[in-house]
Parts: sequence; C-alpha cells; structure tokens
Amino acid sequence: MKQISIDRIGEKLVRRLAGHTSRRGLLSRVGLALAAAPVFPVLPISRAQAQGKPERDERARTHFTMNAQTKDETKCDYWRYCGVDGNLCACCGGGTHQCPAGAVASTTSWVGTCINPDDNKTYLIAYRDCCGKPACGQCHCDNEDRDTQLYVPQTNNDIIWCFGLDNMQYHCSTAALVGAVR
Amino acid sequence: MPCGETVSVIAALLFAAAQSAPLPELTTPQSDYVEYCSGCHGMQGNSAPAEIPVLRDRVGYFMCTKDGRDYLIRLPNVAYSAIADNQELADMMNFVVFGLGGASAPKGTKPFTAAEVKRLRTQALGTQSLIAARETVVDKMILTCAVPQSMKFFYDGQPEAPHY
Repeated sequence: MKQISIDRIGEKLVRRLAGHTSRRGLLSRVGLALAAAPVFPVLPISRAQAQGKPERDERARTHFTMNAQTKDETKCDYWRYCGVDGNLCACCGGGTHQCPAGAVASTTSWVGTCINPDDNKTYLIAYRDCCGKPACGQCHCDNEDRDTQLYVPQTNNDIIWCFGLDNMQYHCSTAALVGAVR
Repeated sequence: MPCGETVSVIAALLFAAAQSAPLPELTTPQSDYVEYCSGCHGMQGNSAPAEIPVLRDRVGYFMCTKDGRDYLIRLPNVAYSAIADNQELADMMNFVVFGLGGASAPKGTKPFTAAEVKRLRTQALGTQSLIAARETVVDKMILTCAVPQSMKFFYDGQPEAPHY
C-alpha cells in the first residue's frame, strides 16, 4: 500500500516551485506590484474622493441612515435626527421647525447632514436649540453622524448651542431642513 | 450663479423651509458653508448679537491687505477644516468673501486658489490669541485701505470691542 507522506508532497511542491521560479523573477514581480499599486485605489475613502464630490453623500450613509424612518418625528430614529443630541422639541410642545411656547430659538446651531431614505437625497439639517426655559426632559436622543470629538468643538454636538441669547438655559432641539445638497 | 443671487438663495432658505416650499438645492461651496460655518456665523453670514464676527457685507474687507487675506485662511477653523481638498476649501472661502462679503471685497480682488490655500493651511494661527491677531490685521487694514472703523467690532453696533 502506498503511503501518503506529507513530507514528500511538501518536498515535491517546493522543488517544483524552485525549478519554475527564479529569485530575480520574484523580485521583479514584487517590484511591479509595488509600483502599480497606487494605480488601483482600493480603499473606499480614496475612491469617494477621487470621483469628485460624493464625499458628503458617502459619509452620510451610516448605520443610522440605514435604519431611519420618515413617519414619526417624536422618535430618535426619524431620519432628520441623524446628528441630534438632546431633547426633541417635537416631544416638548414644539416641532422639527418650531420652539415650544416660551422658548427662544438660538441664533447659532449645530448643522448636520442626513439622508432621507424616501428619496435617497442628502439634506443639511440645522439642530437649532430652543433656550430660555428649563430642560424639557422628554425624548432624549444622542445620534452621532458627523459629530466630532469635543476638542473640535465647532462640529461637536454635546455642546449646548444657546450662544447669543440672554438666557442660555437649554430647553430642547429642533431639526430644521436647510437645503438639499446638489 | 451671480454672488448676490447666491446670498439671496441662502437668505430664503429658512423661510422657505418653514413654508414647506420646495427646498433650494445647494452647491458644494454653499453646502460646505452651511455645514461647517453657518452654525455660528449664521445662514446669511450674520448671527449678531452673538459675539461672532458678522461676515455679511464685511468679510471682504480683509482682502484689501495681504495679512488680512492670509488671516482668513490661517484661522484655525479654516486651516484645520474637515474639508481636506484645497480646491474645495478655496471655493468655499470664495463664496464667503465674494458671496456673503458682497461689495466689501475691493474691486479686482483675486479669488483664493488651491495652491494659496495649501500654503497658508500650514501656517495656521495655532497658539496665539485670535482676538489679538484680528486686532493687528484690522488696525493695518484701517490705516491702509478704505475700511470702516466698525471693523474693530464683530458687528455694527456691538456695545464693546472684543477683548482678550
């Protein structure tokens, strides 16, 4: 009975490899691969940037967007809330564009970019805080699309955006549609 | 699209949104401005009385001196912007200067180029007081060009000049 020897099979393969390849041939192939690599960008980020301006759309395609709904604006997964951090004004007697009675809209706001799953288009959303009343406390959401670390504060959403008002007490956050990205 | 028209498009944005009229479509420079700048500087370049420099009809004055022109790109929020592409950042700053700044940009001002933006981004105003840097730039502007004294303030009618 013929025995199967792993050693013998290994030796055969290695000898065949050694017989059919040269060290210089290998070197030239590795060199060619190295030189040619940048011609074929593989990472999605470099592809997105190379194609012109789809970066905003690409980066907005997040876990949140894939699970967002477009019906109920009192839920954290409503599509416009992709970057909201705070209490939804829609649960506090206001709406996505309106402050509740007695609260004042801030002149400054955090601006996010969300995709509407119904038309698959990208929209700019201003999370304008309503201020000047005690915190509403209803429907707290913390979604983090395009949110940056606290040391890049101008695009961080943990900050209370009530600058420029007499009373900086935070009440709730709206999510006003600003425009569609062309 | 002419600059004035561009500004009026931005001006119409929130009103249009509140009226649930068809939303305006924003170009890349406009979208970049709205996302990265308008939160503080305002959709129309004006968020007074917040202590934030008004851009509308004012920011173009900085283009009258070389220091002033450089200053706009060297500002940390511009130089360290999330916009990696230098041409894209130049386009946005040109929208700010000529679109929002309107007639405040001196006649014949050359727009920012990608090469200029690339060079100035490496010289960001990282460690010094920005208010002090602004004061130096504005004082020189007032001495050398027809720039109103009110540029010492963040907006016309600000009760007190910004201090540090």
